[in-house]
Amino acid sequence: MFFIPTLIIVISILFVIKSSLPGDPVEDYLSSISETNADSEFYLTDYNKIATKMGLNKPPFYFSISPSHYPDNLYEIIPIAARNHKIKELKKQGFSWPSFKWHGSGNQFHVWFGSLFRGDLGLSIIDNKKVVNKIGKALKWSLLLMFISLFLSIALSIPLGLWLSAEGNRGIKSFVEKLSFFVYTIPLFWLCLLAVLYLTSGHYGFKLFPSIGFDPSIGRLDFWEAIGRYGNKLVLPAICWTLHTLVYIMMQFKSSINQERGLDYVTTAYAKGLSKKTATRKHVFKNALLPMITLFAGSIPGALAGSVVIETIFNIPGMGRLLINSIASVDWNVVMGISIIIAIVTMLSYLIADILYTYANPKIRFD
Amino acid sequence: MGLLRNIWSVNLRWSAVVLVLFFLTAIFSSYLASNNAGRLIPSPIPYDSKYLDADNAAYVSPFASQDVPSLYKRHWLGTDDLGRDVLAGIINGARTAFWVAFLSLLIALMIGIPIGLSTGYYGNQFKVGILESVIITFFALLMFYYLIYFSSSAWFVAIALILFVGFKSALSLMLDRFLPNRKKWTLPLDDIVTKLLEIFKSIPTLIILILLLGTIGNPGIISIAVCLGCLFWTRIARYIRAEILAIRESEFIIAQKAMGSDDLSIIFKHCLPKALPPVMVSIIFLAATAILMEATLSFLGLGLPVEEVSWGSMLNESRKYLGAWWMALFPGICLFLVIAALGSESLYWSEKLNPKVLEK
Repeated sequence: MFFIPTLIIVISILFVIKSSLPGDPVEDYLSSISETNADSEFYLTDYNKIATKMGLNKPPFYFSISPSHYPDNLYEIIPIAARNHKIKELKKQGFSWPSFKWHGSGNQFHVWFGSLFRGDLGLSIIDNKKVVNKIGKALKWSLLLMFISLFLSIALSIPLGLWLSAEGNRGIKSFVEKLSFFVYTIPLFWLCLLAVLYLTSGHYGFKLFPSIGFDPSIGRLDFWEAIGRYGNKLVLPAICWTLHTLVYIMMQFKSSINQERGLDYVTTAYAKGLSKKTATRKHVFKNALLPMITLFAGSIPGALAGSVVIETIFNIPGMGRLLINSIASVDWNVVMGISIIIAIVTMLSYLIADILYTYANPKIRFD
Repeated sequence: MGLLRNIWSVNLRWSAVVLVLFFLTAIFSSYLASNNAGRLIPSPIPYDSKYLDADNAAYVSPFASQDVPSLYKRHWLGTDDLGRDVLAGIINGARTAFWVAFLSLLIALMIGIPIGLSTGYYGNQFKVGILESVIITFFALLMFYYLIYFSSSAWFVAIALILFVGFKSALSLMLDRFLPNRKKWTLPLDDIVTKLLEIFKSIPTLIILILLLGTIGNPGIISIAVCLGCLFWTRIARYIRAEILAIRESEFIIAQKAMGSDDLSIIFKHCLPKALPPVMVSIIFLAATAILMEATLSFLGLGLPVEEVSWGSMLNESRKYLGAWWMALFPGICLFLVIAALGSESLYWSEKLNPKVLEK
């Protein structure tokens, strides 16, 4: 069980990234909620209040190793610009040996980690809503789209793989194989772009699918109501995504079947007098499905990355687009929340793949 | 892998042609597309990727009538909203793609090869002298401390790293000379590195790249390449480790050991040359992945700044106005051709170099 330590390491890496971000989170926040001028007399009081709330006046970690001429309470200097200025001045004083300082549990990492465990990801700086709610809303769209396309690609790839590995129809099959190589090599975002260009507008192509983009009022609708009204806009993205995953799983399944066919037990089955078809159905099929378990579970992280691209192009209000928009508007709480969720899902899917594989294949037992 | 076998015979020659063209375009991009200022021989494309042609602004199609003085000045693949030439953009985008792939692979190889070699060769039996490990850890920590608090120059980091490696090898040589029988302890190198690779595997590449580039703020080609290299080294290390694990048991290595060769010369003279060709296949494939990643990032608007043109950012521009089919089509075709060429080359060589593994 390597799951928990990995998760802690990933969360720590995210914390390092979060605390080394450029810019001043308090300033971003203040400029997003009000038009308060940086010179106004209330600015500093507001700044202090927000910074204390964000915990920016706390030490970053349990301990610190800093040059001995740095003051002990450097982290308490509150406008971050002033702190950086002070550090610049201190740097100019030249070299001094390191000194170790212990800060105790009242530090930013401890607080952040604790709030993560309680499921609290903070507030979004754009609209002051809870990050958890915001992500939860977007996650529904992503999961819906992801499961539709994963389900379709699995449901289609297995019969297609079986068909490709069977005899006969060489001409059509080699054409399908060439086509799938073509589809697999096309970058996903270009495939979607071309689909949008040629299939949703009458400019150059055909208006087969509804135009992309949602009404901004969709945020106020209930999820199922929104699906009912705009569900037709999910068809084209689902098709693009399915195509992209389908060809890969299909070819893997085909090569898995071919690999099994070379083994001795299949020769025995032929010797017993089974036809190729029956041998495939009764013996090969089950064994060829085994490596597919890992492949299915392993395709979930890739699908999450794919959702970023798909949702950006098709303007679906899902998690991927939320991630890109939040980075553009320096809403780092949302970005961190999404990253943590994606990391957890990735690790869980690998873990589930391992467990399922062990369960399905008794030859493998982990220590 | 079976699907590619029947199209290799056709594709291999064409993919080689595509790759050579891509390479030449990337190297000579500034000669192929320039504004001819102070140049003796005029370039084939009289525009560079930054030139704004005000007469032909706002999406001029390649087939539309263009406001140009001569055929030489024509925009063969159309223009974008500001009047930039699409063909010049594609030529300069080739350079970006090439350098991102090249630099990221260089970094990945520089990290991945030493780690893969040492884990594969030593396994869990990596013996380090206690004395030198203490000294080296002390100096490494001191160096990090100094770099964090007293220096901010990238050149200084590079020089410090080189000095550090030099110091480490000099120290080991000195100690071997004067204290050959010093105490050593065994480092479970293989366990550590396998766990590290596991952690890297569970981090989704695109997401962590998005985060890293967001942290950097204003990334350039070099910072994208560094980020990619820092994520790709694990794959190279994994392949090299697997290769060396097989090689280290072979008889010629045992014979070398019996003849008294030291570990370093066995690793570099015998293991590395034998392990590298099979790994080259995955390196070619990683080049395709790097190009694709950079294009995807630029497409999402997180990659290179506006001044650096890339195929991905050109495709992103085309989303502003869906009527401009030429902007969505041509950079995408280039991207597709290069990735397909790299993919089929790598699959061809993988079958050629280790037929047993991929035959089935």
